[in-house]
Amino acid sequence: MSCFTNKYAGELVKNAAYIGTPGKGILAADESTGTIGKRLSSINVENIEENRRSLRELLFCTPGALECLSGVILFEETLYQKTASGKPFVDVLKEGGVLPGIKVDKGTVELRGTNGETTTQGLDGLGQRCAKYYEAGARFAKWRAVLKIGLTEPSELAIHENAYGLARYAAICQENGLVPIVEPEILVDGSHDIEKCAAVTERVLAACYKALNDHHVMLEGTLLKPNMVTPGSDAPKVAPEVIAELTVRALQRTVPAAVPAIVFLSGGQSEEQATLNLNAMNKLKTKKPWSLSFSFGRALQQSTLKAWAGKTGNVGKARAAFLCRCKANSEATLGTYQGNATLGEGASESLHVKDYKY
Amino acid sequence: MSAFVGKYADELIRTAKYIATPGKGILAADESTGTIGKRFSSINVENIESNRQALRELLFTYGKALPYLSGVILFEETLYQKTSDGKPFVEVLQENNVIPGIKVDKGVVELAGTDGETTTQGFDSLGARCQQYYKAGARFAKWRAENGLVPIVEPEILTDGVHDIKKCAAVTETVLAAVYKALNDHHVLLEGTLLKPNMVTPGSDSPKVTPEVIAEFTVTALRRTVPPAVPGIVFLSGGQSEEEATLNLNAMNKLEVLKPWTLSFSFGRALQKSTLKTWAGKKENVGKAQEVFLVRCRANSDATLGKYAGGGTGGLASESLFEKGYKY
Repeated sequence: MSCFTNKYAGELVKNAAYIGTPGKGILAADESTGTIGKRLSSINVENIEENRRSLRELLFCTPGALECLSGVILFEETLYQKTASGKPFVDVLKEGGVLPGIKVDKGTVELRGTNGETTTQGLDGLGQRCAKYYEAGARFAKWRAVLKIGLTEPSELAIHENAYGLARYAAICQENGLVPIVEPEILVDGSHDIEKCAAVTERVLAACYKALNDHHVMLEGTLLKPNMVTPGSDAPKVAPEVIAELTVRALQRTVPAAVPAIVFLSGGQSEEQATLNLNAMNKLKTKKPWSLSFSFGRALQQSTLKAWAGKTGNVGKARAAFLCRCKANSEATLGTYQGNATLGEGASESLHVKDYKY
Repeated sequence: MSAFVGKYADELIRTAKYIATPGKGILAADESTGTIGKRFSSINVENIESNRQALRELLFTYGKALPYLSGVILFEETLYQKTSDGKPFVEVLQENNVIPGIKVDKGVVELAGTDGETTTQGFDSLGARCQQYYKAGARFAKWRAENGLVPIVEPEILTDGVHDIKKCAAVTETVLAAVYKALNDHHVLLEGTLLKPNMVTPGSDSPKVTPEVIAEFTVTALRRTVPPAVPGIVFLSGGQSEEEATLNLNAMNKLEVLKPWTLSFSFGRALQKSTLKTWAGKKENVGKAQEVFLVRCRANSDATLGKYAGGGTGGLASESLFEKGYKY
């Protein structure tokens, strides 16, 4: 067998394809306790379990929002949390036609001898953890590998380590019924131009798909979560159409048609930018054998968080802001977004944080 | 730069795309002098230059067949040959919108320490040779690309063996993944290349399966490994009979699954077998032989559109062309 197939094969293919349904995408709500703490402190909210739970209830129970989503990535704590009235979040999502997903990596560590490059941890006992998460209702997983662009980066070592870590994680997920989202994020930090980002992205993605093939991963049961191809954060901006062209070209050169969907990360782009770029890609008239959608964290939640500010009285306002971004991105997957959805405060704010540590 | 983009980039992309035009395909007429000798001896024809010239004239000057071809791969000797009226073959092809291609490898040599596995020679002075071929009118090659020639990448996995179709699929996927990783490492512009793979089939000594099964396994393998940037895939026939090769190609084009590259042919034996037998080296048979050639060209053109109704020229077309351990 070139690719591994087991009792989960049919289900993996079905779930991966479902996540790529046109008009839908993923809400990345898998911020670790540390990371969500940073978000909460930016709106002066205490980082305690109840507040973390309230935020997620605010999001998942927004009327109409779930129709725009095919999946939500959760942090482990959230997988076992419930609404105030006692309903497990996992059930709320399932009933809304949304697949629960789970973040399974354990963060990055530096690669000795490199210039600050990293690899991602989390393979130990991953099989058992995946089986546990499947029992709890999760149907897909996420693992974030990180690379950066510099004079000599990304190095061959960093590319190889991250690609093979992703491939091993993907194989283990499939063994346990979870669709692996393969996320090789190339950070936007830097003053390089968009062509440089394109070249690096193509090199990294080619390495990823070679590694996935080596590890007998069944591509039809996976998803890709790449960065869009953009200029570095310190370089002059370009139009969404240019980002769309170079991003799709990079994907055409590296991502096999067997992959059902590509769900972009937003990586520090403002809510509006991320939506406009995704929209431009879906308007592009060229070969796209995979659907192009979103897996946004900050780019879906920024204005919602600001509107909420931790106050129960603001939940309605916050939900309106969230629904607005969900609908905008849903349209962007169809190439029908008209722009400037009633902008919530902060929708145009860049969300870039230098050297972002999740 | 991720892909090498020299002065030829636009031309390469245009040429590759044209070769992949639906309804057209490639005639692989690049048999080396030694190989064409084997074909000739099977029809009792002497392996001399004028006979090699006569065969290619028979094939290239039949105007009715040329619309079904987007390219013809030539051996070096043929690139410089002319019709009996003195017109260069290259010109005849160009005037009929058929792109001349050139075989550039120098055959295989064994890899020491393996069980008969090989690698292909031909890198030495390849750049200089490609430049010469480009000047002579060639626009694609069966190998690499820095000098304006669209490379056809051909990683043939031989059918010899008792393995089943699943094994062939696994090996094909592993090989193609390695090929595309290597092309990426070498900064090759995929939009200016073509792939010439084997179809995924059971081994020659193992039970046959239907064209639909071959189509499914083949297209699945390609969907898992060949990036959408590649404009066309032109299959080799590898010993299949003329009819088998056409039926399999047809089944692939009928398959209702997303295929971001066109699926066509680059057939040698599977386009020429019955033509050769009909010609038998005799001038008076040229007309009949050309008609037989036209039938196979049309059949394969229909197959690239999933429209082939089956039943070309009966008997000869169904003969297997498989030869154990085939050496080109």
